[in-house]
Amino acid sequence: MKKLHYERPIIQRLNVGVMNKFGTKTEYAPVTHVDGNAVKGLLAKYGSPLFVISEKTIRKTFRDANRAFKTRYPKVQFAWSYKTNYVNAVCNVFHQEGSWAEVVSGFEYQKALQNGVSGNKIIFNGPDKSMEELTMAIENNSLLHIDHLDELYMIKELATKSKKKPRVAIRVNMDTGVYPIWDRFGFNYENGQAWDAINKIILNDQMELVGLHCHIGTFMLAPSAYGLAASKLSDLALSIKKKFKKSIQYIDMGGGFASRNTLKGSYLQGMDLAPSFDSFAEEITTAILNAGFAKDELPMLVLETGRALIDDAGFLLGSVISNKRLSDGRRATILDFGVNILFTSFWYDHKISPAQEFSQYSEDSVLYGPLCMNIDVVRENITLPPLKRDDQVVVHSVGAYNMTQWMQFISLRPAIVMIDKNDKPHLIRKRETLKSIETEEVLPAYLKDFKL
Amino acid sequence: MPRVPEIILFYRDSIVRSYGQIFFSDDRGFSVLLLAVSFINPFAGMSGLLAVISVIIMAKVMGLNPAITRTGLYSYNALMLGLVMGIYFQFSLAFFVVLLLGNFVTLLITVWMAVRTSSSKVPFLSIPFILGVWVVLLSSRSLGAIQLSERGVYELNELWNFGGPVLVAAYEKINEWNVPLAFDIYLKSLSAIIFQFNIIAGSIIAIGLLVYSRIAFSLSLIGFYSGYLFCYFVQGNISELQDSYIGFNFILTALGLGGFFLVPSSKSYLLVALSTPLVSLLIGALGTVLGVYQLPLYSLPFSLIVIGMVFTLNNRFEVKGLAPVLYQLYSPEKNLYSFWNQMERFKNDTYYHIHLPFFGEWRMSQGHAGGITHKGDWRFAWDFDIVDETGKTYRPPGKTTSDFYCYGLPVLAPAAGYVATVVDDVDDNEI
Repeated sequence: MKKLHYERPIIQRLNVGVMNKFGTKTEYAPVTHVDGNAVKGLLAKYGSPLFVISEKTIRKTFRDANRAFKTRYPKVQFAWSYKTNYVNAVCNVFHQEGSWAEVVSGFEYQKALQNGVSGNKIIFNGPDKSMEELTMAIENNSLLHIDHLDELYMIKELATKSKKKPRVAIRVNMDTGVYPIWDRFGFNYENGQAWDAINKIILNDQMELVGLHCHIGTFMLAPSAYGLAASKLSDLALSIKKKFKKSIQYIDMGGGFASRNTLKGSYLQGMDLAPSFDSFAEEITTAILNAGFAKDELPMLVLETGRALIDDAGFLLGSVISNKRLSDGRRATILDFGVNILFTSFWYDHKISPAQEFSQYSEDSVLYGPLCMNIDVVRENITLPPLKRDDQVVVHSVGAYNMTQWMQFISLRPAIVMIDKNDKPHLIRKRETLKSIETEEVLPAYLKDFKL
Repeated sequence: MPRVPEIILFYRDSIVRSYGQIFFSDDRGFSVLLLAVSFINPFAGMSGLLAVISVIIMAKVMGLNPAITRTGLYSYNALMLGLVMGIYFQFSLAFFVVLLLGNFVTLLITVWMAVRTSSSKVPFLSIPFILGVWVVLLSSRSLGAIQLSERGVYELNELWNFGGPVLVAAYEKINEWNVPLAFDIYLKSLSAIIFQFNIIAGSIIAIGLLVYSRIAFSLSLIGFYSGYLFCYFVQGNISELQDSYIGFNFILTALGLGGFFLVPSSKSYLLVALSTPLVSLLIGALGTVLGVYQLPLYSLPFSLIVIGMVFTLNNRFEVKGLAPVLYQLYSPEKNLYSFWNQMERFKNDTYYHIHLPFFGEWRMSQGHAGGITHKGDWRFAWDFDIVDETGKTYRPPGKTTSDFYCYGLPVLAPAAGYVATVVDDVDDNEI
């Protein structure tokens, strides 16, 4: 006979006359499988904790986004934002679906090249581009998005030495009705800096201005901001056409679409708040189509979406280490993952589901991570059924930023597994070992010996 | 510089272009080169030139269209007749009279065929020349005043008479050149087109052809060697081909089909390679028949095959693959570039362009005579919607119109036009 699952008893104060938890059923359903693979089996095979990515979800989300835009605008191109998740397997799924690459640093650029993306399909953003990185990008015909005038002058200098004409765009910031304005990036539209930079580029004629770029925020919940941004960029493009008789090849609206995670402090669940791809598409394409471009001079629309495409495809599987009762009576559960590998727990209240069956009883708890640091709190307040040591949990929507911002701190970083279209798991990043931490360390000889 | 009188230009063009017409060319440099080469055998050359001039005068006197005369179209058959007669007969007064009369007959046949074939866009090539030469040869057998020339029998003697020991030595030296047999026959066949039969004339013509048109030169090689390979393959009478240089039919077929009547392309080259065996068959067949009457073949096989091919290709139901040359520019390169240019400029102007009325990828849910609602008066309608990979047209739960993928998307006009009516009072469908 199978051993029954043991659940410890809970003591809950009963408030008469007021709605209480004994009357309501918990909304959580256990998540025992991800894409047809048992959570227990995956953790047993690859260790705990474990990141799991669903390739099916990536492709479906991408195709939804692609359809939303392609049915509203004739020329659309997505560029996968490497900083969101630069695991090569994930990037290549996007490239297989037709995405270019968008990178913000030298090593991301090299990663894109090594993945096989051809140079002219890499968009190089970011304020910190060294001379070597710029030289390499110019040689490969990549698209350089200029952030500041110093970069403009650096590229001008390199252009005189190179046989190729650098293909550049400028990043523009503007007031789109949302707070805060990200005016630290790029050139401002309202005070004329952007027009000045455009004139500098075109009149100098050593670079080719092929596009206009903006990235107005992150986790945007208001599509109208994008509509405003698109119309301001279209304005710039039409002014360029009027003065220089030159057509801009593309308008890059950057990223920033919200995913369905719930922000900390948000009253409504993220699932209800996040605008759909269709609403963003409607705003952006309407603004550009109505801006006044000639029919055959409509610029290509480039999107650098990251979070909204990958978040829902990523899961984090983990195990319970122990339970505690805090001094004020609250239940605390300690998990084997914390802010060290779930960086986004600083911003979101992630949905966490138990991975095994449970009764209808639940308890308010705090979820802590394994670090011995006080800031390591995964969820300050969550209602979960009682968990015991070695029970397993599944964290939802962790695909974005966690696998690039995770810390090499106290715990070794876990493995990443991708489950393909046929529900077969593939290891796409091995669990780190001590060697991974020490491989770049150099110990000076005089420190080798000591006597205690 | 005083303006050259029009009449001189007229004669210059008519005479010079007659030579080029034999090679399907109107390039003046090439034509002058051919004229010069025709004089390597000076009797042929003189007779040919005389024939051309006489026919042009005849054409003018009879009031034929001077514009056509100027292209050399009426006179190239007479030119060939003159060249042939100059080779085979002794020069004498009677000879020249018969030459003139023979040219006249040729001109009559030429004009008749030109008018008859112009409506069906089919050429007459050298049929008038063949008929004319048969008339002259057959009648000359009963004319005592016309003597067969004895030139060529004692070649070295004549060369000595003409140019002394220098010419003889040069002639011997040329004959000692070890030209590979394959090239030797090709060059001599090339020269046989203007009835010269020697390797110098062939080489000069080959160089001239290469300069005038690379395509024509390559076609001449392909045509000639494909014909010969076929002969080897069927173990035909190679030695007869070699001695009579009748292989020039292959070269002319290649020039005609490869780049003159059809736009040069890999398919036209293939057609050439397939047509030269036909010419070879016809050489054998006609040779047997005409041999009974001791009449020469000359360019009859080439003419018949090319006329037949052009007629068939012009009467196709579906024109695809081999493109006919609609406006002749007399140069394979010009025909090709003009064709490419037309394709580039006009490919969309043959029909009215209608776009589908949306961006992106949609699915046609019901088309012509769809059977569901497209029946009767509505049978020519198209319905469109959008599906995802699972085949659903909506996002779950699909309870409102905005859950459907195709709701609210922009609809485009299929073509430019005017707004005729605006209808705005139709309610959304219920789900």
